[in-house]
Formats: sequence, C-alpha cells, structure tokens
Amino acid sequence: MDMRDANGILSSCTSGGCGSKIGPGELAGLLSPLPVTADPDLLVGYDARDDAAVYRMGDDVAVVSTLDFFPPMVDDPFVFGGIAAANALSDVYAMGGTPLFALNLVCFPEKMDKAYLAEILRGGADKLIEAGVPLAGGHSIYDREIKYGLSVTGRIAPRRVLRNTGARPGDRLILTKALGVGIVLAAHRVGMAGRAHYGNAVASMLRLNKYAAEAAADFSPTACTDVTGFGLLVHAGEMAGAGVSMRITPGALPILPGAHDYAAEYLLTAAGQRNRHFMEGRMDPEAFAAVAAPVQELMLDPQTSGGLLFSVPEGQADKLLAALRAVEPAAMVIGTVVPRAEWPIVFER
Amino acid sequence: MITIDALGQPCPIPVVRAKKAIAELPGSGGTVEVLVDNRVACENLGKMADGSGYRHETRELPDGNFRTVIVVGAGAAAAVARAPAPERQLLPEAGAGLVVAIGGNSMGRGSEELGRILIKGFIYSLSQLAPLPQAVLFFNSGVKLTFKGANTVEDIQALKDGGCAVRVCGTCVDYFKDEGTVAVGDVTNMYGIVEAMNAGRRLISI
Repeated sequence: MDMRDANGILSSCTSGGCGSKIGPGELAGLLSPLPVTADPDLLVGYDARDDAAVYRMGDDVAVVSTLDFFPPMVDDPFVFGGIAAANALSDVYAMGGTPLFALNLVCFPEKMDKAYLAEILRGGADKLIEAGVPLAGGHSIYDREIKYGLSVTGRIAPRRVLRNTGARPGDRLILTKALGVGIVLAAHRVGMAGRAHYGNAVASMLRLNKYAAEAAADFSPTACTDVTGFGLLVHAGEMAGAGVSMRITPGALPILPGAHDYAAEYLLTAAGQRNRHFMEGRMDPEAFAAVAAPVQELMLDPQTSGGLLFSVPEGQADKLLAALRAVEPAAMVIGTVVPRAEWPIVFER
Repeated sequence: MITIDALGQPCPIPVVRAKKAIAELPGSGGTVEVLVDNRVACENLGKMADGSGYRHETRELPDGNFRTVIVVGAGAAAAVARAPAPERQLLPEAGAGLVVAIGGNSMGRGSEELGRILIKGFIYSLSQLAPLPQAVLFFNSGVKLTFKGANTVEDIQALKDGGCAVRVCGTCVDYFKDEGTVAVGDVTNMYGIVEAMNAGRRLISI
C-alpha cells in the first residue's frame, strides 16, 4: 500500500524518529530532581542512563523493561511500523536480554484514514514475528500527530546484565551499524536524498539488533549500548561514565553511503545540534575541531534504530568483529578505551 | 534583501531554502534574511554561513522567533550558483568506469595500525558505491587483503558478486606466499593489471 502522496505524512510531522527525543541536557535536568524509592532489586534504574530498566526477580532471573515511541521518519507506514519495533526491541538486546513480549503504543489523528494506522501496526507486528516476540496488547489514543512505538519486556540472568558502563582501558570499541541515518532522512525530507542512499538508511533501521547481540553472546564484552537519538558521541560519553575515556578514531567510523556528502551540504537535524551542545565540555574541543565538519556532524547525528556499541577486551576484538560482520557488514572497530583523560571523549588525531 | 519565512519548518528546510536564495543572488552579492522559530535552526544556518564564508547575525525577536541575516559578498553568490542546484540530486550516482588500484594493506601514512582500519573501511565503502567500480586491482602488500582470513575478503567478494572485476597481482601473491593464499579475486600478471587500468575512465590509486 502506498499512501505517501495522499497524506504527505512526513511534512505534517515537525520531526521524526529518534530525532524527536528531548535533548540529553534538558532531560537530565528534568530527571535528577525526581524523588525515587530505593529498591535493592532494581539493578538498573534511570539514574544509570542505561538502555532499559532491569529488576531482579530471584537469584537467576531478572526482568528487562523498556519503551520507545516516536513520530514517523519515513513515508511508508508499514516500514515505519517495522522501524519502530526494531528500535524498541533494541534496548533489550543492548542489555544482553531476551525479549518476552511487547505492547503497542499508538497516537493517531481522529480524522486520518485508519488504513494508514493498520499498515503501521502490520509493520510492527511483522517485525515482532521476525524477532519471535509475541504482541500482548497495547494502548491507543487520538492525537494531532502520529506516534507509534512499543513497550518491550524481556528476561535476563542478573549475572549477565550487559550495562552501558564497565568498559576497561585497553578495550576496543565496536560499532555495528553505519552512522548517518538522521542526515540521510533530513536529505530525504527535502527531496535531496538519492534513492539508493535512502534505501540503505531504511534497510539499516529495519535491521534487528537481535542478530548482532546473538553474535556477541559467545564473547565477553564489558559494556554495550545502542546508539540512538543522542548520537555516537553522547552514547559513548555515557559509556565512559566517570571511570574511563573513549578515544574515537574518526577515520574508522562506518558511514552510510551518501551521508558524508549530505552533511557537507548542511542537511542537518536540530537534534544533532542539541547533541553538539550537550557534548560541549564533555570532549576534547581542540581535537574535535580538527575533525572534518561533516564527520563531526555524523558523530552527533541522531540515529533511529542505530547499531550496538560494544566495548570488548582487545584480545577478543578481531574475532567479535568478524562474527558481527557476518550479520552487520558495516561493523567497525571505531576506537579504544583509555584511562580517564581530561575529557570523557577524546579523538585519535 | 530576500526574506524567507521558515517559521514552523523543521531543519534542514530553513538551510535548504537559504542556500537556494543565496544561489539566486546576483554576482554582486546581497543579503538573505531567514525567520525561524527556534535557536537551533539559527545555529544550523550559522554553520552553513561560516562554512561558506558568509557573515551572519542572529537576533531574537519580541515574539520569541528568531531572525538570521546572512550577508553574501561579491563573488561568493556566484560560487554557490555554480554548485549543483538544490533541486537536482546532490550526488550523481556516478562511478561507472572507476578503477581502484590498491598497492598496500594499509591506507595512508603515519600509523600502520590506523591504516589497516582505514583500508578495511575503504574497501567496505567501495562495495557500497552505486554503481560499483569497474575494477579493483591489488598489488604489492595489497594482495594480502584478498588472502584467506583477511577481514576484507567479505567486502571484496561483495564487489566481485556485484560485477566488479577483482584482479590480484600473481608476482605479489608468490612473494607473500608464506603469509597466505588468495581467497577472492582473479590472479593475473602485470599485463592484466595495466589493461584494467587502461580500460577505466578514472583511476584511483591507494
């Protein structure tokens, strides 16, 4: 079903995908004053700024819980549904968990053709089937703009929780998907993205991180997160925490075809600029300024359904990379974990 | 002065409209004023102006919106005008007739380790070009990239599967025979390499 002309759906949305996230700085300011109930069984809460919450149910089992939703970032409703599902499931995979079931979250305009919504839901359900995850229910409301996503519940052994912190000096950083989704989508929005480039970006967003997570199961990464709306640098900065620094090799980054050129034409998102603000004071400014402007933008570019970022001991890096490339051909070693430097993020010159 | 009302329009639309207006300025230059409803859009306009060598200034208006004024000097507008028009596809997906000669298993100078990361990314990127290069040629230590177990084999195979000729220097394979055997590509002699170079429209040598 092709309804893009009838609805002009993208032009009605102020921003789509993970680019719609509230900026990382603003969010931290909102969350930090909230009162919380301490609970020793809450192994990962929002204070950890991790991908999903983890709650221990017993010595050998914990629940992983996450939710994600956003406005459309592509024209085709079926594809949008699939991307939203892949993106929501990703948080469970990034924690090392196995999704058990999912619930739909739907906001849809009362006056819009419900066939469009049916296609979104079909796209989401189709992706859940690929992941082997049953749909267990959901919640739908009328809203002025379309939004769709899912809440996903998974299971994990408490001892096998793969946090976003824990990287150790000497580890190698491996990114599984190419960067530039936000920039290619921005180019598409203004009709300037080549068909093949747009197709590549969509295929990347639709790819489940399940396969990369499974490929990594035989290894012992020290940390993992999925790279989404905050872009590579903010997510890598979260991974650095207070203990180590991440030395990124800008020349080694996997980049979606076309994205570098679109960035050079300033086809940039607002979210990327918000990420840049957040990183001020969190990365080596001189080394960052020495990086070519388009590559700077790619490192800050919001990724919808982006790849997994693993920190893995050096001795396992080559083999893990080879295993990952069987399912994610763009996977690359993009940097090294180093002892804490002046900044959480530093750059290979 | 050209005024663009980009209120309510998300990035990158204000930048695209500003660039289009600048391209239409006369050779003597001029001023383009863009109205937007958020500061981040002004910052993205500023990056475009800085990167293109234009002066720019942003003011917050009493109604909470913003006005960015971009001043384009003489000659600068003409430079933009010569660039591809925004309506056209930015990247002509050209590459037909491209031949890539790879003479080492590391890319660039400075760090051998970095060079190996780069060459892997380079070959992957080649495999993502549309259309693919006409031929990729490997000689000297570049032949090791085609050896069994090399992390580049898969991408070279993808190039080959896509119809790109992959030629590997036989003398070089023999020289490095203690380090491995060719997993992908057609082993050829110098004549085959020169022939492939000569048949291309453009040659990139790494």
